Amino acid sequence: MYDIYLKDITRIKNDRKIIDVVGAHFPKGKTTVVIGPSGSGKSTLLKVAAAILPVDSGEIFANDKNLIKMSPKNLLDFRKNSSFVFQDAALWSNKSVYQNMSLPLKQHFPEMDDKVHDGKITKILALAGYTDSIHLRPAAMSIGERKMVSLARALITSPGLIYMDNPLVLVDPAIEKIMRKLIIDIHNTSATIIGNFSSPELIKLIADYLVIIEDGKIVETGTFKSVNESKNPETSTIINSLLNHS
Amino acid sequence: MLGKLGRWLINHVKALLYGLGFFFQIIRATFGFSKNGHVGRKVLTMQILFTGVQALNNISLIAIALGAVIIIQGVGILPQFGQGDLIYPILITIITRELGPMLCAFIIIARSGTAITTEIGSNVVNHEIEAYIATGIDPISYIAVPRFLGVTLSLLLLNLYFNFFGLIGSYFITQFIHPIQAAEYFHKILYNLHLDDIISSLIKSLVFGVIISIVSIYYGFKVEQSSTEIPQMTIKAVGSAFVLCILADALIVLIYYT
Amino acid sequence: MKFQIRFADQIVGLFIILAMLSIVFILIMMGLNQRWFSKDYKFRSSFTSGNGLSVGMPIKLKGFKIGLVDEINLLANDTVEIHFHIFDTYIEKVRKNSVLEFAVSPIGIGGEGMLFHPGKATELIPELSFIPSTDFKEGNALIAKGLVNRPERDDTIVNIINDISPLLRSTSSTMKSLDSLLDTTNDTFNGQSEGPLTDILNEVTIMVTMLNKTISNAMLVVNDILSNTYGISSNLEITTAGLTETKGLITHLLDPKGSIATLLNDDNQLYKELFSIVEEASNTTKELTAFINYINSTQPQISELLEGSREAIVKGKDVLEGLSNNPLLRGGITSVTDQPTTFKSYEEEEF
Repeated sequence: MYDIYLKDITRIKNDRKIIDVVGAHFPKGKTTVVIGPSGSGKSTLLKVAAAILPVDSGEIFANDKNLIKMSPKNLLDFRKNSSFVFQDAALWSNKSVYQNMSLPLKQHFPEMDDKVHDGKITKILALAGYTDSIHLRPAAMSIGERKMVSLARALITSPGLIYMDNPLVLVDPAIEKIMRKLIIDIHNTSATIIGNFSSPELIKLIADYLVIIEDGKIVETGTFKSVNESKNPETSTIINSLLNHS
Repeated sequence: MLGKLGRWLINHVKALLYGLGFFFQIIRATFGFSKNGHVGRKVLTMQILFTGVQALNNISLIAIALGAVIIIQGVGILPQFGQGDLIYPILITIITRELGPMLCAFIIIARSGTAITTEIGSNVVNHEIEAYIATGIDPISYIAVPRFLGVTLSLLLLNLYFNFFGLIGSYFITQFIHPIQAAEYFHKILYNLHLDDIISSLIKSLVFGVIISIVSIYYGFKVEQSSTEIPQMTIKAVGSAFVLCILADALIVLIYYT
Repeated sequence: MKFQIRFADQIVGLFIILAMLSIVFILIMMGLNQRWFSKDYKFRSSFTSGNGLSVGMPIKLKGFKIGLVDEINLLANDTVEIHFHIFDTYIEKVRKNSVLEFAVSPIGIGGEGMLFHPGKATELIPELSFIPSTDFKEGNALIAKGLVNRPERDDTIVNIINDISPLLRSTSSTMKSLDSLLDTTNDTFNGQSEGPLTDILNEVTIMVTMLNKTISNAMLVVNDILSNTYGISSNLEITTAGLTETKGLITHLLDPKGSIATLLNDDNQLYKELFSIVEEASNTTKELTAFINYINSTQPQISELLEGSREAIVKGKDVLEGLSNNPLLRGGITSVTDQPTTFKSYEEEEF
């Protein structure tokens, strides 16, 4: 379980600050949802918060330890206890479903017994609703199936912190239903979720905290309730267009 | 104008420094590979399979044909001015010292260099590299190092096979056209083949292997977002690898034989 | 494809092992061919000059490469010291009294290089010892004493040149003796010497025999020039031979085996022989008388004759020297002998 805090983060691309965050807090054991118009830097913020993308300045604290200056050993420990669900699934294309699931386990639990290892893969895949052959390569799968496996891959190491970058976008309704249920289940455990979701219903259901972002800058953060009822005109515009439009 | 030139220079020096930094990062990760390479070893095996084993038929065919051509041309021309035995040094110079490492390098650039750049480029575009990072797998030690080791080792081994086929295999082909006494041929080949030739050949293929793998991996990682960048980077990788290999060859010859 | 991926480890392992085996095999074969694993025995020698010597130069015995020159140094005393090694397969050739010779081909191409002449002793020379060369007395003395197994050269031109050298030496020494003889003869006839005439004549005979030997060796080359001298000197020889042979005749007659019976029973053979000897003796006596008279009357002419023969020999020496020194002449010989084989080789060439 981690408590993530971003301090004075900037990420520059083509002489433009695409992320410029003075401070953002993602509390331990809670679900924080990042909301903003498309192109506002939600995915980038998530990747920066997960220390996947490098930053040009600033610090990322995970339980008061700076991820940027962390020793490789401690960083590996952080990776073991965190995972990332990518918007485009980002399954390893030269690996089968089984190998995609197996690699994180091999990386973090090299001593794990083969039976336990295989059993775990089967169990998690079933939980995510994947029923096809585990020997398929991502290219042979539908986008929905890929996202399913992607979510399963993120859960295989039982992490305490999960970053979710639009896991349900482009997924057909049948699969979405299964995945949505799984996400709610995760939310109900003690795990920390830092997410970017497009479904207002899901956000309203699971979001404990909200982070409003526009043009790479944090507009407002706080509990779901406080942000939702914010008097800030920018916040209410975004909230109204994204959460309360229907 | 001056500002433009200055910026061009600064950008190129920056790119060069970045490339060198990249190179040293790979070298450093290579030393840690045997220690914590439990997930990378399979990638290395596959890389050798694709780069080395699957190129073997091309390499051996070219080596045998080239060796046979040199022998046939040599035994036709050289005795006319009483230098028939010069065929052996010529064969060794071409096969072992020069064309062996160079042709192997060209074949590997065409086969594996392009494949590596394309593969890594599409990995970047599909965020697979980010997925590795998120899983705690260092892309340098998991993707770059096995490819670096695989290509370098494969080129080294392919060069040995090239020499073997070029010097020995070609003899048997020549027998159909221009028979030479086997004892005479092998004695003279072994007499004229010096340790220097073998060492310089191996050094060359080692250097070429390093150049090809580093350049291909570097350009692969240079792809940023769009899949249209992949072919552009592949072309750049091939061009750079060719030029760097030839320059390195000239440099090695200069250092080694002067 | 499936097969290759399933057995990737085995295939890659085989690929690596075969390459390693092939390089090891080639290295071993190279090593055997280029003698990497054999022990070499080191020795030293010295020469007067480093001209033509080079590091890595092969040391040959009867056309076989038995070793290599390792190091050449110019020492403080201006001699050139070389270090060389002999391959272990030929180490039993390095016997006591062995000599090293640096032979240069007179033709200039395809120099013969460093030749090793094993000694005739059976005892081996220990490693690192000094082996004398023909550049110094030590080596030549061993050859002169016949302690060295030095083969005849098989190169005709080299043989000629080598034979001419001693010829030249003996010619000069003959000439020196001839000079002194001439002086003595002159002195005698001038009444300045008390030695008997026979002594002088004997000396003349010895000299002339030497001269004959010398001249007949050089005859092939200088026949024309010396023919005159030869004729005269052979006459002299016969005369003096006859003079000494008279003693032989008497001993023959007094021989117990030469009985009267033999004389009677051998179909007049002995008689005839005896007669011819007596006759020859009488002729010789006559000739000797004539010769003495001749000498008495023509003493200045003898001097002149001897002087003439001396000049002829000087000319002969010049010719020989010319032959050994003149590079154009050597070149001429080479091209004349080589021309036909070149043509032949071109005709035989397959195009």
